[in-house]
Amino acid sequence: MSFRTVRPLLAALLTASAVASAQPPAEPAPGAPAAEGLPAAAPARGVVDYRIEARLDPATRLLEGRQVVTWRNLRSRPTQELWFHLYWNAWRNDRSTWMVEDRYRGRSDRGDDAEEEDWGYLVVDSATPQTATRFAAPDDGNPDDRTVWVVTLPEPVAPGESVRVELEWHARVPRTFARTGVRGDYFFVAHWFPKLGVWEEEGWNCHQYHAATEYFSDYGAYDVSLTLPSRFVVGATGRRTERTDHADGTSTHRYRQDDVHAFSWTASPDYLVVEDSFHSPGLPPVAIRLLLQPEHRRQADRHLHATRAALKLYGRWFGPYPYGHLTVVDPAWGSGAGGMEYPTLFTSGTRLFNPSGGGSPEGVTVHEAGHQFWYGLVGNNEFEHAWLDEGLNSYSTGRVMQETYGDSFVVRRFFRPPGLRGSGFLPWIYRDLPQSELIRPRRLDDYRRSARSDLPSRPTYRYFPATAGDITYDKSALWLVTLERHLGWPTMRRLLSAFFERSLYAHPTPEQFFALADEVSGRDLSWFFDQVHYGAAVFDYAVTSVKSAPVGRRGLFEEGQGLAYRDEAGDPEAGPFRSEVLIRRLEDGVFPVEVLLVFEDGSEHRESWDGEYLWKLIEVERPVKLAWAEVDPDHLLVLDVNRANNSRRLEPRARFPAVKWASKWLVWFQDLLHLFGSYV
Amino acid sequence: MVALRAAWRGIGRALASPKLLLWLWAANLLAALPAAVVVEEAIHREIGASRVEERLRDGFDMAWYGEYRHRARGLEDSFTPTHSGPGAFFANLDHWLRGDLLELPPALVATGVAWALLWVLLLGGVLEQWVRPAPRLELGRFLSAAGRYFFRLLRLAALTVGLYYGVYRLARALFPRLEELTQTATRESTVLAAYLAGAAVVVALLALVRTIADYAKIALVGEERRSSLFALLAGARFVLLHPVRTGGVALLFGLAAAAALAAYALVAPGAGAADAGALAAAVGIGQLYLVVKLLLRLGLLGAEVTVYQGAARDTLPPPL
Repeated sequence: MSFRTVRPLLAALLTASAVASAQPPAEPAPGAPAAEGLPAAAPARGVVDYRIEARLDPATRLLEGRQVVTWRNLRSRPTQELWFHLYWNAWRNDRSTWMVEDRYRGRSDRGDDAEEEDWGYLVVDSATPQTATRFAAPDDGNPDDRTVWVVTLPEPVAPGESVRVELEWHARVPRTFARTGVRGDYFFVAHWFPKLGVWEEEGWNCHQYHAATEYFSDYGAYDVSLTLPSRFVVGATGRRTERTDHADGTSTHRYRQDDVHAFSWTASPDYLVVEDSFHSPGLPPVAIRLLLQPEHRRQADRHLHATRAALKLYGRWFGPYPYGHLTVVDPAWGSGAGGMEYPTLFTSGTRLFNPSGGGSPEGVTVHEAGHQFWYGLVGNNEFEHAWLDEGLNSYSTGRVMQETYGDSFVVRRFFRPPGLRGSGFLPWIYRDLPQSELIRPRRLDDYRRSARSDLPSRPTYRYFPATAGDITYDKSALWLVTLERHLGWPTMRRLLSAFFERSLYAHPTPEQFFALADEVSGRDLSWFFDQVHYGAAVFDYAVTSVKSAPVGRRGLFEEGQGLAYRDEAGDPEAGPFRSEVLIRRLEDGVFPVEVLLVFEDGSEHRESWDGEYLWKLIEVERPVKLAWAEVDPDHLLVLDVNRANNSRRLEPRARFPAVKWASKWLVWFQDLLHLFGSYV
Repeated sequence: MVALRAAWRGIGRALASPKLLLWLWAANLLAALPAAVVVEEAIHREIGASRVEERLRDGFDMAWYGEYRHRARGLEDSFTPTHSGPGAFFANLDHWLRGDLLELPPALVATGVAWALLWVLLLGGVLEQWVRPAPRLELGRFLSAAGRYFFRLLRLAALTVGLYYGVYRLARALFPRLEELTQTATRESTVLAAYLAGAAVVVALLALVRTIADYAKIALVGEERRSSLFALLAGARFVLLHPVRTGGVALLFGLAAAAALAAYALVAPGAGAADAGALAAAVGIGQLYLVVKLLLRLGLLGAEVTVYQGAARDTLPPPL
C-alpha cells in the first residue's frame, strides 16, 4: 500500500482528530507561577499540537509528510500570521545563514566537501488555509535563507482562540549536518517538519537557523505516524502506541507524547534494543530503552548506568522526570548524530574502544539525559539564551559525574591515519593523570581562550560562531560552579530546584533566574551577574610577593626622655618574624576572596578581602617564618584564569618538578630524533 | 632459519660493541638535551614560586597544564604529560605512520634534521665496524670511516627521503580514499579494519624502503661504491633476490621492537616519582628503553650485514 493511496483516509483521520485536539486542554497550565515581584515565565504548555503522517523512502532518502497543526493564541494580541521554522533548508545550499556561520566556526560539519546528494531540504507543497506565504529572514535579512516561512491566514487569530492548519510537504534527508541526517541505512531525523515559532507579546519569535545555536518552541501534544520499511528498528520521542505492518513490506509506527516541544526519531536495521528501568525512592519510575550499535554491546551497562545516575540525581536535586519513559540512542559510527537532546530521547555516543574511567560515554550520556530537565522540561529560548540550558546542564553534568564517577583520567587516542581529520582509533588511558569532572581542564582552557570574546547577555545567535560554545557551555558552567561555591551547595540546590519548579513547561529568561537567585539566597547577587553575564569580566588574583624576616629595629627610638639610636638585627633562629604578603587583582573581575598564610610550624593566618581595590598588603608578626601564602585557597573562584599565581612560597621549589617533567619530555624527544634518523 | 641466525648474530655484534652503543646513546642524549633544557626552563618559569609544584611533584595538574599551554609557544608547546610512559612512543609511532614530522615546531624539526645528518655521519663508522670488524673499536678509525662515507651516505639519504616522500604521498591519498569507500559504513569496526589494512600497506612500504636503504648502505660501504643511486639499486635488487631472508630479519626485529615497547609499557614510569630516587629510576628506565631500541637498530644493521655477506658468499650477484 503506497502512501498516496492512504492519503484520503489519513486526511479524514487527521481532520477528525485535529478537531478533537483543537479543544483547549482540560487543565491548561498558564506557565509557572511567578514568585512575588517576579515576572511570570511565559506560558508555553498546551499551545500547539501536531498530528503528522510521514513516510520515508530510505533508497531516495525522501520524506513525504502531511501534518495538521493546531495552534492556540495564549497572548493578549491577535495575529494573522503563523511563522514556521523550515530547519532543513539550512542545508539546501551554501548561502543559508547556517552555512555562512558554520564557515566561521572553523569546524565545518560538512559544507566544505558536501556533494550533490548530501544536501537536504524541506519544501512545503500546500498549506490550508492561507492567503499568502513568504520566506522571512528576521535576523540578518539574508535573501537566500529559507529557514523561516510565514503563512498569512484568512482571518486573525484572536487571543484565546485557536487555528488549525494543514500542510503537505516533502523533504530530503541530508548527509549529516548538525546531528541530523543519514549514513548508510542509519537515519537520525530531527527538526524535520514545518515547526511553529513562538508567538510572544512582542510578535513571533522565530529565528533563522544558526550554526551555533539550537531551538525554541512551545509545548504541545504530538501524534506522529512514521511509515518506513519493516526491517528498520525505530526510536522516537514519546511512546509507540501502534505498529501496523503493511503488505508492501513497510510498517507504520505511531508515537504519541504530550507536553513536549519537539519530536525526533531514528531508524536503523542494526539497532540492538536493550530494555531497562529506573527506580529510585521518591521518584517516578522510568522505562529506559537503549538503542545500541551491535559493536558496542559490551558498553550497554555503561550507558544505562549513566542514564540512571542522571535521572536519580537530577531528579533528587532539581525535580522529577515525569514522562515515564526515555529512549537512549547510540548513534552509528560517522553519523555525526551523537551528543544531542530531544524530548524523551537523546543520542549518546561512544567509540569501539573506550576505556573505563576515561569519562566517555558516561559524560555525554549524563549530559544529554540531563537535558531532559534543562531544555526538555524547562524550555528556555536556545536561540537567545542558550546558556540557560547548556550552561546549567554542563554544570549539572559535572556535578553528577563527579558524584557518581569521581575524577576521570586523561585518554589520548592514537592511530590517526594520514590525511584524515578527527581523533585516533586506539586509546591509551593515563591512570596517573586524573582530571576533575566538575571543573574539566578543557572547559577552563576554552573559557580562558574566549573569556572576552562575547558579552554573554547578547542574544546567543549573535555570538561569534567560533567561540559561541566557549561562552554558552564553558564560561557559564564555570561561573555556576563559582556561584555554588560562593553560596554553598544547599542554597544552590534550592535555587535550581525552585528555578526548575517555576519554569516547568515554560520559557524562563535569564532575568528570572537572576531574580530567583537573589530571592533564594537572600542576597543581592547583581554584582556577580553584572560581571559574568552582563559584562565580560576576567578574574585573576595573584600573590605577587611574599617576605618573611626576623623582626629587628634600626633608627631612633624613644627611650627615657629622648631618642636613642638602635641597630638591632632580628634573631634569624628565634624570631619573631614579620611576614608581608602582597596580593594583587590583575584583571577587571572583582570577587571577595580569602587569603591564607601558612607558617613553618603549620600555623595559619586567614584574612578576608573584598577583592575590589587593585592590591592588598597583609603584614603578620609571628614567632616563625612564613612558608607560603595563597589567595582563594578554597578555590571558590573557579573563573580565575591563572591559578598558578594564586599561591607563592617563600622558598620556591619548582626545580624538581620541572626537571621531572622535562626528563619525560626528553625521552620522547630522544626517540623522536631516532625517528628522524630512521629516514636516512 | 637464516634470518633467525642472522638476527642472533646481529644482536651479538651490537652487544659485542658496548662502547659503540654508549657513544650513539650519548650523542642522542646530547642532541636532545638543549631542547629539553628549554622545556625545563619553561616549566620552571610557569610553576614559579607557586604551590603547583606540589601537585607536579607528586603527580600532575591538568588545570595547570591548560595555563601552561595558553602561554607556551613553539618548542615549549610540545610539552604534554601524555608523553609520559609509553605514550611518548605511541605518539612517535603515530608520527611515523603519518609522516608529519615537518609539522612539529620548527626548533624540533631543525634539531631532528641536524640529528639525521649526524646519524648519517655516524652510520659510516657503524657500518665500517660491522662490515669490516676490527678487534677493538677505535674512535679514530670510527671517525675516519664516518668522514669517508659521509657524502656518499648523504646522497643515498636524499634518495631514500625521496622514496619515503613517495610512500607518504601515497598514504595521504590512500586513507581519504578509504574514508570515501567507507562513507556509508555504520560500524567503526568496519572503518577501522579498512584503515588497519591501509596502515599495513603503508607500514610494509615504509619497511621495504627502510630495508632497501639499509642494504644499499651496506653495499655502499661494503663494496666501496661511489654511486649512491647504484647502491640503492643494488639494495633493491638484493631485497628482491632474497625476500625471505631480508623480510625475515626485518620482521624479527620489528617483533622484537614491539616486544620491547610492550615490556616498557608494563614498567614505564608515569606521573609519579615524587623524590630524587624515584626520578632517577624513572629517567633510568626511559633511557634503558632507548638503549634497547638503539641496540635493536644496531642489531638490525648487523643482521643485515650478515645476510648480505652471507648471500654474497652463496650467490654473488653480478655487480651493477
